[in-house]
Amino acid sequence: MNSHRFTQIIDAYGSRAERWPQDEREAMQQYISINASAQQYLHSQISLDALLDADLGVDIGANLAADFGAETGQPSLQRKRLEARIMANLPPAFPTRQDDRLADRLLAWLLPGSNKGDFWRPTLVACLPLLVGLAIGNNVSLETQDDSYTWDEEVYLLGLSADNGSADDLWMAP
Amino acid sequence: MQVTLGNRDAYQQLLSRQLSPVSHYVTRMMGHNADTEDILQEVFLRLWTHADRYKPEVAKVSTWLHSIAHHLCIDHLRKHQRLVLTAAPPETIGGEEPDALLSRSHANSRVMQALTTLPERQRSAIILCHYQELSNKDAATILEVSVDALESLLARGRRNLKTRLDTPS
Repeated sequence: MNSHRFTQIIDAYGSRAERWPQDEREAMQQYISINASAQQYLHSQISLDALLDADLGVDIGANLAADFGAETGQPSLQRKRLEARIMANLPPAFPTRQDDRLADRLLAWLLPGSNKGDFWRPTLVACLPLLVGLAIGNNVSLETQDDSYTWDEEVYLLGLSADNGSADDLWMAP
Repeated sequence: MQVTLGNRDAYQQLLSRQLSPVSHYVTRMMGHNADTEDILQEVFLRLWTHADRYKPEVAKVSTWLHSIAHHLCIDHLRKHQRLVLTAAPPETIGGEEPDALLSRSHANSRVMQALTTLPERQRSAIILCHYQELSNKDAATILEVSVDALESLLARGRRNLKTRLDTPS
């Protein structure tokens, strides 16, 4: 524990030890016990916590009941009333839920949440057409003409046509 | 989870258990706003219709519900921009002296007023950590930020709250 972290924790969570991060609580208490300026800083936050804690005792349920225009201010009754209303407005269970779940799970797998380690999934999907294109390009060979072969073949055909010329002459003769 | 399979009894049990904490959160976020009940109904409707999206390995049910409530409150506040605030009506507490009750009630409404004037995320961070008593990790999950960012929101929120409460009304 150092003074920077101590100040951070007090600024964020206040003066009450039960609100401090559990894994740093002990270190905080030790730090306060040996450091006078830390004790002073802690005391500067007590008044705000006292005000917030006063509000903690408010029965929000009772206020909620008043907001709902209830005749009685009993929170338990109002909670029951709200519960009943929620249950009454509940739609029937969806029969296609299992199918939806599959589609949702696939989507959830594809789309990364807050976990940065999952970004390879949409990247992989985006690269998939490229990979398929490369695989097709490697395996399917398009027939191309070999120029040297064509040249040889042309010479051969010319030779043939020269021979055939005399034969044609013979053929064409009456 | 039985709710995912459309089990109404399981849903009702969950509703009974979670309605109170979620309603506390929504009420503090919204102030005493007439739309609080609509938001609560929507939160629990989503628990029914979107139950299949819940991932137990990522968060607890209460964290997930607070997260839905948080998003609905933020959407609502942004849509309506101007939040109409009404002070909390003083409640009757058995055995408390009238003067003490009055001064406590005044302090409560001051805190509530000050809280509702904070930026939404700072307000939400303070409510989740201070009033809902969620762990910093759960609160960070709900707000979709890191624990460091949550601490920064909390510190700024508390600082703003102190300034507002120190200013005479």
